[in-house]
Amino acid sequence: MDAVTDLIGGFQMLFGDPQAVFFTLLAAFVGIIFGALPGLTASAAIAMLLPLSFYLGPLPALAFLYVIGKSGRYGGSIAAILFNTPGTAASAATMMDGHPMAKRGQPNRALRTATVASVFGDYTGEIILIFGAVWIAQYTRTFGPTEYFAIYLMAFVVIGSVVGKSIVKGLLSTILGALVALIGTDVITNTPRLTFGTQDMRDGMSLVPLLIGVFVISEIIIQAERMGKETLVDAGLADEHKNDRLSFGEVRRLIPLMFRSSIMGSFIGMMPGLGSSVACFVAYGEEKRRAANKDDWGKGVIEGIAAPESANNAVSGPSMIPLLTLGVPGSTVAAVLIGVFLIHGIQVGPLLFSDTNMIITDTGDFFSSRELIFALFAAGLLGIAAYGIMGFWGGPLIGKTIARIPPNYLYPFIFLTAVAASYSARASVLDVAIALLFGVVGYAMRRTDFAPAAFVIAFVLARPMEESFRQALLLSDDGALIFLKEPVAGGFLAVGALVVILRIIGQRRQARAIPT
Amino acid sequence: MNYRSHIDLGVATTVIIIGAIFALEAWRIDPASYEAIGPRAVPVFLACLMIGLGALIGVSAFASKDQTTAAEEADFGFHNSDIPRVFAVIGAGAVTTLVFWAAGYLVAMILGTLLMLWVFGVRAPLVLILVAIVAGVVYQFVFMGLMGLLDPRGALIDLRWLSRLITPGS
Repeated sequence: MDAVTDLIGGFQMLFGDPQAVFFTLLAAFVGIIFGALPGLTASAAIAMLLPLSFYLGPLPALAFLYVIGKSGRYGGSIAAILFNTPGTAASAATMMDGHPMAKRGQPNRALRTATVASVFGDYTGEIILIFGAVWIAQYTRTFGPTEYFAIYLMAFVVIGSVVGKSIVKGLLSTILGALVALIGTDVITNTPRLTFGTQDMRDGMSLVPLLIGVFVISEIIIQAERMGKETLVDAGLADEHKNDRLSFGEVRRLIPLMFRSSIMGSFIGMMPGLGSSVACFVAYGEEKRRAANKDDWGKGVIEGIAAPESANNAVSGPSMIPLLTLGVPGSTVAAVLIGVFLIHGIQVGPLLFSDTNMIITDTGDFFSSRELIFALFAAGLLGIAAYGIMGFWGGPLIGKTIARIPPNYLYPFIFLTAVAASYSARASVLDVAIALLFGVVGYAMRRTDFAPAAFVIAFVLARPMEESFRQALLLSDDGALIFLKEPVAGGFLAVGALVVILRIIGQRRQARAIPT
Repeated sequence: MNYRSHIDLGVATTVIIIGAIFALEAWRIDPASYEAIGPRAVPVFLACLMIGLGALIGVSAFASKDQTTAAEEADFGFHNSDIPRVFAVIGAGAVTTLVFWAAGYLVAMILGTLLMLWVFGVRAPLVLILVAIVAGVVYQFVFMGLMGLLDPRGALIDLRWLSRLITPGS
């Protein structure tokens, strides 16, 4: 019941801060738009808007980026249903039934199914986050550097091996991210490392240009390539609409399916690295297997939209559990949120749920980190309602409007915003060059089966992982054996090893199944 | 050898070169520390691991019996890439960054818009010029005026007299 009381307190704190409410509602809108723009994702939106959060207080900043992550996931369904172009990888499953439904003159029915399912999934995931994170944090509070190193290493290996198509390339993505993160001055010995003899590199790499390069500039390069090859097609809205309404009876019929898919999405979301795309296809496959009308799936059934969309948005909340309880980002959105927490002087991890961990803002206000986290949860709940309302009644209009935006004007402006945002992080022209460099790196990674998401998450994890490793060895009398002697640390390392072994076996079986 | 193997060999070479550069740079780190594991250990280990995994990709590419063709792997590799356009975007970005360093933010924004519009197929001269100027003014006003960012002096030419017409306080 503590969590319920704290959540009520969170709502009081949220509604006591008009700026936080404004940015929560704005985020719901911005996320839908970015998610619906083919090729752009919530991660790209967050990367570009991250510098804006430097000028906000901790709650508006966190609420803004957190809710963009939620509504951006939902926005991808608009592009998938209307344009047959998934805004996010996860929306590809929605496209299989959503687009055929839009083509036969039921785009509103398809969009509203996606909205209802997304909201249902997101609320389920958020409730699991609120109660799950509080419960897990009670246990992780006692962890020291030994356990943390094991957790970071497990996350590193798991993310590297499961995020991409190739295990080796996924692991290489994490190693490259870690090496880039280690550029700068070593915090323990104050020794400059990997600076290539330059003074400018001593401060290390900033997350903002890296994110902008990997997620935004690489996408601009890909969109430039596509110019002239593809155009957006408003598939269905212009045609005659028949039975284009979602009835209350249909929604009621979908509830058990949405519940099952949301639970699947939530559990997948808790695993670092396994994101929405896995959840969507697992939920779609499972519900199709259970369905009586299997043959109709893929031709435009509402169940085929509701299952992946519920799972897609159910991932959002639980993917924050590793971040809030262990300080391990399970997704790129969580990785960015670590940066926002740190900018506002808040250490991420189980102590976030402490009543005595006080935060003082620039305006002199103070509150505990527990109050802040519950206000963030409240913002998440408000944001879900906001994007649900906007999407339910405004989804078709948003889709129509996006179809009218000429890409040859849109992407140059996204490029300009990316340049300005890269500069604004540290007022450094070098950061603009770094963003451009990582744009090229991100483009090459996407073309060769590397995993940009694993690269970014490893960039965030590498320094704390190295610090906990060195601290653990300082405390150890048995050298590196301490990681095996401590049962919790050993358990996490075993889980990491097991995941890699299972993944290797899975890939080998898959390779054998494909005839040469 | 199929298309994927060719690309993977290129990937392996690139990874090994990057790993070697990091390994050499990591080896130059002063290892002195009171700790059992100093500041050099982790970077050296990661760079060596990178070289090793790069070599593994190379060996796998040589040993691969996969017969998939370029056409079957639409999203892999560069056969579907419009390389001139890719270089055009990178070139426009590089010129924008260089002009940002040399002449400051406002001029870089105007030139950057103009170049990117050109890359994305806008050819009407009046539209190019007008949109670029309006975009430059708006981005100057939003980022330097509203957000209060530092308007940097160009390293070669100081054109802040121009940007101060839009944001006098910057």
